[in-house]
Parts: sequence; structure tokens; C-alpha cells
Amino acid sequence: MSKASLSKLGDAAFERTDKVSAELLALTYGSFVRQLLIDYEDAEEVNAQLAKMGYNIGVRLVDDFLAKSNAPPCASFADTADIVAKVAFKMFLGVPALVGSWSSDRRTFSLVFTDNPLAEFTELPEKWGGVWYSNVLCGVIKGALEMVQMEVDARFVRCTLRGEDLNEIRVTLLQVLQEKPPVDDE
Amino acid sequence: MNSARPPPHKRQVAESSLDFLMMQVVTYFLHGPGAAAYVPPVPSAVPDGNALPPPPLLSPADAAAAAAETRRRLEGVGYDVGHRLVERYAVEKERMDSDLEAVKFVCRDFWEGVFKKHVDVLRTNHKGLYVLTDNKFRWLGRVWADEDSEEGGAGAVGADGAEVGGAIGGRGKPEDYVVFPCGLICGALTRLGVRCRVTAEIAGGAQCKFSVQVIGG
Repeated sequence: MSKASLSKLGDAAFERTDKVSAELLALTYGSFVRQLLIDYEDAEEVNAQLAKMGYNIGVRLVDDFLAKSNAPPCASFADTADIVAKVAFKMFLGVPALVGSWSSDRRTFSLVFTDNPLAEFTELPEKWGGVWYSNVLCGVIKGALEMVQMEVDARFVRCTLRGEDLNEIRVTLLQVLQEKPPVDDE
Repeated sequence: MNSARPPPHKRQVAESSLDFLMMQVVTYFLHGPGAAAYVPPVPSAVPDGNALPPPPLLSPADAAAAAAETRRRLEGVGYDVGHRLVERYAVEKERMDSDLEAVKFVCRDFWEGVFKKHVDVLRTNHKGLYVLTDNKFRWLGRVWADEDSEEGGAGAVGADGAEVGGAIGGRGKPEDYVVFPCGLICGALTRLGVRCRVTAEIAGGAQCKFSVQVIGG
């Protein structure tokens, strides 16, 4: 499926879905991260906690995605990248991402996006420079792809809250998991 | 690619994104690491080196205090969000000149912005108590969507203190999902000049009654 038609699919999926104001999501996420910073007092631990929560979200969210997105099955990891960027990002966050910076072995790509609804009203104090504020997204990607038999590593490498001009998540395919045998329904 | 991007206050995300996040936030505070932090620590010395220490035994009073503290923390996050969010809705409104005005604003504009409908019934005893009844509270309805819910018709009064279904599938209990909204409402009203305490009661199905008790009014 072409990238243009995937974009249309993403737009249509977002159009159909129930929506809430992005402010509500951003403020809720922001207040929660602030509490995590107080509870853990350590950037690495906060990053890990956010990734873990994201993973828990991802393994559930994938069902919602498969049921409502009309996305075609992925024939390749490159397809997966485009579907995550054009359909899933758009459907859940209202903004698409771009795919780029493929590694030569075609197992690693970057998801790049400038508008980040999670970080809409956020400034990160210098003290918390080690925090990847939106790290929950890495967990979501990892959790969701694992449910469709792809074990990946996902990590932020750039974030606008760190003064960079865009957000970038590197996603690496570690292995394709064996499909679980179908459950016997008798 | 963002040429047609709406202004900040008009931007939207999928409601399911908020639901998924809320589920994790509730779990963190009430059942996860955020709750564990408020349970008295287990003695760490293990004399014989292999037996695991027994789980902490809390007296009922300590357990209740720990549970109240975890709920207070989750409510605090809601309060913070309500406080900041109402500023955005109320940004062009003149200052509310009575408690009732502020409560009405929350029942209409604020409720619409957050829960996508208005409060169904507002009652007051004219002594600083306001009861906001939402017959189909969105956050309960969505969390429990796959459960059979008895929909109370408008104005129907559920049995007070009716038992509501227990924990299902790691989502916690329905009561868990009204803690954050209590804080949200309290934060919004406080920002509008009404100091208050907010409690919630689930009255069957997705009907929820929020009681706002004005403090020192």
C-alpha cells in the first residue's frame, strides 16, 4: 500500500474514533510524570517506569488498532514502520510521524515527529535533563509490535524538550517471534 | 505536513489514548509501585539468609490509612489537572461571583470539555453542599463497556450504597476510576474560588454522584 493511501487510512481512522481534547491528555500525562519524578528522584528509573507503563498500554492498544484501523497486514518491517507512523500515530495522537534514517541492514528506522501532543505544555527543568519525557511512546511501540510477533527495541534519541528541533525514536527489529499455535477452541 | 493543524485549544487525540493512560495511572497509584511506597516497609534483616521475610501485616487501621494515602495521591494528580485545565476553559469568562455560578460552570462547560456531556442533575441544600449527578459517567461507561450495565434513566435514583462489581481483568474496581475525577472537580472549583471537598458515589451502572462540600462557606 502506498504511503499516500496509508496517510488516508490514518486520517479516516482518526476521523472515526471518539476524541478528547489534547490538553486533557497532555495535562494528565504531565502531572503524572511530575509525580514519578518526585517518587523516583532518578531520571533512569523514571524512563524505565514510563517505558514499562507504555508496554502495558501497547499490548492492549494493539487490539483496538487492529479492530478499528483497517490497516493492511504488514508484509515487511518497512510496511510496519509506515503503518506505525502514518496510521497508528495519527489514529491515537492525531498527528502522523515520518519514517526515515533506515540502517543499511534495514532493521532499524527512525520515527520522526515535530508535534508531540504529550509534551504540549511542558518544560523540563535542567535538573531532569536525563529524562526522556515521552518515553511511554517507546513502551507502547514495543508492547504493540510484540503482540504482532515483532520483538523490537525502541528508544528516544532526540526530543524537543531537550532543545532539539524534532522528536526521534529509533526502532530496531531484534527478532521475529514464532507465532503462537492457535488456541484449540474445543 | 502541519499546514492545517488546528490551534492548541482545538487539538484532539483519540479518547482511547486517554483511557489507556488513565488505566496505567490508576494502576500505578492504587495497585502498583506508587501504592507500595506507602505501605510500611518490610524489615530487611533476614537472619538465616534464605527465608524470605513475611509480607507486612498491617493492622486494619494502618491498612486503611495506607489506602487513604494512595487515593489522596491519585486525587492530587487529578486536582493538579483540574486546576490547570479550568483556566483554559474559563479564560474568557469573567470571575464567578458566587459558589453556585462556579459549580454551574463546572457542570456545563468543564464537564462538556472533559466528559463530553453535561451533568444531568444538580441539587443543593443551600448550605454549601452540591450534588452533581451524571447518569452516564463517561469514564465508568468506557472502562466497564464490556460489562452489562444497567442504565438508569434520567432522574432515576439508584439504591444508595449499592454494591458495584468487583475487580475485573486488572482494571481495578470501578471506585478506582472516580478518585481522579474527584480531584479534577476539586481542583477546578478551587481555581474558581470555591474551596471544597469532593467525594463520589457510584449508584449502579455508570451513574455517579459527586458531592461537593464547600469548606468555610
